This record gives sequence, C-alpha cells and structure tokens, in this order.
Amino acid sequence: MAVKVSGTEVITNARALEAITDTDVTTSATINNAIKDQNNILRIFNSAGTEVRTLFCAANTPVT
Amino acid sequence: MAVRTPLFINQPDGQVQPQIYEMDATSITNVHRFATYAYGQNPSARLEVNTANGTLLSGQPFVDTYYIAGAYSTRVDRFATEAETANISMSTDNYNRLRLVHDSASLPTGDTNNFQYPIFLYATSGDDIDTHFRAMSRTDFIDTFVTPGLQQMESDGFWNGTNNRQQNGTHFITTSSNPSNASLVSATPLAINSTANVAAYTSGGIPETQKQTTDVNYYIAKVDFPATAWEVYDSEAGTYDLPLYFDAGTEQIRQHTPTTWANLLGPFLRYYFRTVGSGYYTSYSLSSGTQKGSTYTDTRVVPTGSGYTTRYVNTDDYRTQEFPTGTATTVSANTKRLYITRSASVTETVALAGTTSNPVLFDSFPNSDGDVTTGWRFNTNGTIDWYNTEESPNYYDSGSTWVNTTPSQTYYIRFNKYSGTSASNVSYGPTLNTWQALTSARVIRVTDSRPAGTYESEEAVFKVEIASDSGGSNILDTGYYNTFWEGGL
Repeated sequence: MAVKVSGTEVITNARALEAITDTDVTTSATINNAIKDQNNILRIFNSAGTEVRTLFCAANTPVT
Repeated sequence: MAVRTPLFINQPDGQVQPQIYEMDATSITNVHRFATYAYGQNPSARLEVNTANGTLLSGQPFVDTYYIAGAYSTRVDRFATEAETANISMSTDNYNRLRLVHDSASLPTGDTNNFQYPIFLYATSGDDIDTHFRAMSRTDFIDTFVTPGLQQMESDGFWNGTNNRQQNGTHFITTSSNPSNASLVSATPLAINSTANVAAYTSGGIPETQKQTTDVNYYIAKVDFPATAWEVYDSEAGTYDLPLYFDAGTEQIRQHTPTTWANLLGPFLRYYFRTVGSGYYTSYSLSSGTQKGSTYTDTRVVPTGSGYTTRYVNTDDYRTQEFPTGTATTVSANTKRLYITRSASVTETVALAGTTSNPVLFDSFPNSDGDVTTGWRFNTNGTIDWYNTEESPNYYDSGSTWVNTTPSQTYYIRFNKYSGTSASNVSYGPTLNTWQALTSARVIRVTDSRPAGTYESEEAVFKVEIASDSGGSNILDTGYYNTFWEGGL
C-alpha cells in the first residue's frame, strides 16, 4: 500500500520515493553518509602534496 | 621534478557529455607547439621603431637617396638659360629608428597557493589507492611544458627565417602596412625609399614642387597568428584542448584558455629567449644570421640629361625649371637586410630539486613480494632515473636532470637518508655520506626485505648533494628525492 502525505503519494507501491521536497538535518546527514560509505573518493592535492578537497561520489556498484 | 601527463576536457564521439581525460602523446605535442603562441604574446627579444627602449641596432642608418627638381626661375624678358636655371640635386635621408630590446626577465620561482600549475592524476599510498588530482610543482611544469616546448619550437624551425605560425613572436621587415597574420610594431616606417616620380614633373606645372617622389615604406612587423591557428584549437567545439588546473580562488577545476596559458608559460619562455647561456638566446642583426622579411632597397633615377624645361605664362613671365629624368636603379651599397640570430650555447648549471617538505616524487608504488627495492640513479650524462624492482628494465628515465647539459667537468655526489623507516631488514645505500665522483652512474636505493603482508605503505626521502670537488667544500646544490613502496598489509 502506498504511503501518502496530505493526499500526495510519497512512497509508491513499488517502494520508490516520490515528491520529496526537502530533507531535515538528520535525513541530509544520512544521505550524505550513505554516499561517503561508497568510499568512491576523489582527492585534490596541491603541489606540496597537501589534500585540500575531498569529494565523495556515488559508485557504479553500490556498497551494501 | 618529473614529466607529468596533463588532463583536459574531451568529448569523444558517442559520449553524451565531455569528461576529464589524460592527454595522449599527440595532444601533449600540440600543447608543446602552442608554446610559440604563448611566447608571441609578449616576446622578450624584440624590435621597436623610434622609441627610447633598448639600444640602436648596429649597422644603421638606412640610407635613402633621391633626386629633386631645382628651384624654378622666372624672367620678364626671356627664358633663363639652362646654365642660369638651378640644377636638380640629390637628397639623402638617413634613418636611425630601429631599436633592439631584450626585456629584463627572470625565471619564475613561485607557486601561488601551491596550485599555480596544471593538475595530473595522482595515486596516493595507503589502503585506498585511488586515482586523484594533484597540482604539478614548478619543476614538474618546467619538465612537462617549458623544456619540451622550447625543444618543439626549435624542431618546428623558430629561427628559420619564415613568417609562419611556427615563428610567432619573431620580427621581420615588410612593405605592407597591414601584413597578414602579423602586427606592425609601429605605424612609423623603419625607413622610406623615395624615388623621383619623373612623370609628375610637367612643363605646365612650373613651378613644380621640388620633391615629388614615389615612396615605399618599410615597416617592422611581428608574426602574430591567432590562437585558432594551432592544433590545440577544436574547431568543432570552439574550444582549446589545454591543460586543466585547480582554481584556488573559486575551488573549481578549470581549463586554461589561450590567454591564461600564455600568462603562465610565457614568463618562462621569455627568460630563455633573452638570457645568454640558456641555449635559446635570440637577437636581431643587420649583418648576419637568418634573414627575416623584405630586403630594404634604395632606388633612385639615373639622370639622362639636365631636365631643363620651360613654360611661357605671359610676356612678363618666362619660367624655367630643371626636373629629374631617367629610370630607377638600385643603389646596392645602401641595401640592408634584417637577420634573426640564436645562440645555442648553454651555461652549464647543476640544479637538483625538491625540498624537505616537498621532495621530488617517485613515479609509482612497487609492491613487496618479500623483497622490494626502489630508488634513484644519477647518470653521468646529467639525467636521473627511477629504480623499481617491478619495472623492466629496473631503471627508467624520470625526465629529471641534475645538470642542464652534458657535464664538462667531474662533479661529486653524496647521498644521505633524510627520512624513512628504521625497521630491521630495511637498508639504505649502497653508499651513504660519502662523496662519489659522477664519472660513473651513482645510485641511492632502499631495500625492504621484510615479509610481504607484514607492513603497510612506506616512504623514504633521500638528501642529495652535488659538489664541484671531491671533498664537498663547494656544494653546488642540494635536493630531496622520495620513494614509496607497499608492504601489502
């Protein structure tokens, strides 16, 4: 059975999220950490070898 | 310091979006060719006309000779005789306008925010050996773009005397006020060749203006092709396949434009083209070298008679004047040519690289199989090799050098361990803290004989010194060179 909020379906019978307009702090952190858990990292180093940016990316084969 | 593989934006056929790619050999060569464009935006060896900069180029003046009419006569009673009428005369104009300028230029030493130079793919040590981005060091940049760029310019014929894009930034003489793929250094001619315009003098015009000439203006121009003339230009996309860099201000990865690339590479090239002993010192001459552009020629008419001419205006006005006659010929003694010259002599200079905080990087991470050896070899011809037990052959060119030309004398090298594990079964050598003559190749290596899988990644840094004497009392330079290896844990 789909889940609706104020008449708008937000979880379909196929278990897909729909019409999610925002996330709270907790959910944002959860999504962020899920991406980090993929461990697919691009690091940017300056010429002295110091890491200045760390980019966490989605993976072709998600880590479960 | 080492040769790195730059990155660029590319969208091969079938790709939905452009992606970041390592440049292949062709793309890298195209960037090397583009060095000519970069230099041409602000050449450090150049010519100016009628300024106060530099010095007057030796061999002037440019001499221009031409005939002018004599002053006219008028009488009320009769025509003045030929003897009474002023003769034609030869005028001489001397032009001393050409100036040779060698701008003050030093080799750039900075690395602003440690992100001044392009980025390359970089593998870190540790458990997650991923491929990342790292900014080149200044010496990486010199090895990757400056030195090969200069060599490409030489190979493409920078000093061969033509005025194609391969000679961008060189100067030449032209008679065109709007030469194609070039720009005049001044609207003021270098010199003018005036020749009497015989047909302009007529009886009915007495008194004729004394100087009536056909002029040929000679200008100095600089070869100045647009950036689109080079192979780096992708005409389909309208973009330039130039290296990527990390913009520290916006924290964005960006692709160089022709302007930003010229601003980055140009100062290095300017140093080489204006520095005696660099191997690329460039100058101009009026006496010898490879000719650039048109030959300046002084032509004047050779009179075939006095040119005595009369004009009756009225009974009180009998006019006479003598005009230039004949056809134009070249005055060989006044011919001048502009030449470009190059001094290929190199001032021998020992130069190591790396600092304690930023040593020269090793190329790769050999993995231990119970015994791993990595290090460096300093060769008698001035080159430096990496040593890696996993590579075949074990020694391979790092792209770095310890001296900029084949050594003309004996130098001495000393190795010491600067940092690295002191674990047992790890040895450094073969010879530490001893001055060795570089009449043979000299090696510094670390050998780790611990069982594989018993330790993680390791790094060692070697301190390298080169002196001109066997006792090391005159140390010419010091550098730091690192190496990595993986234990498999």
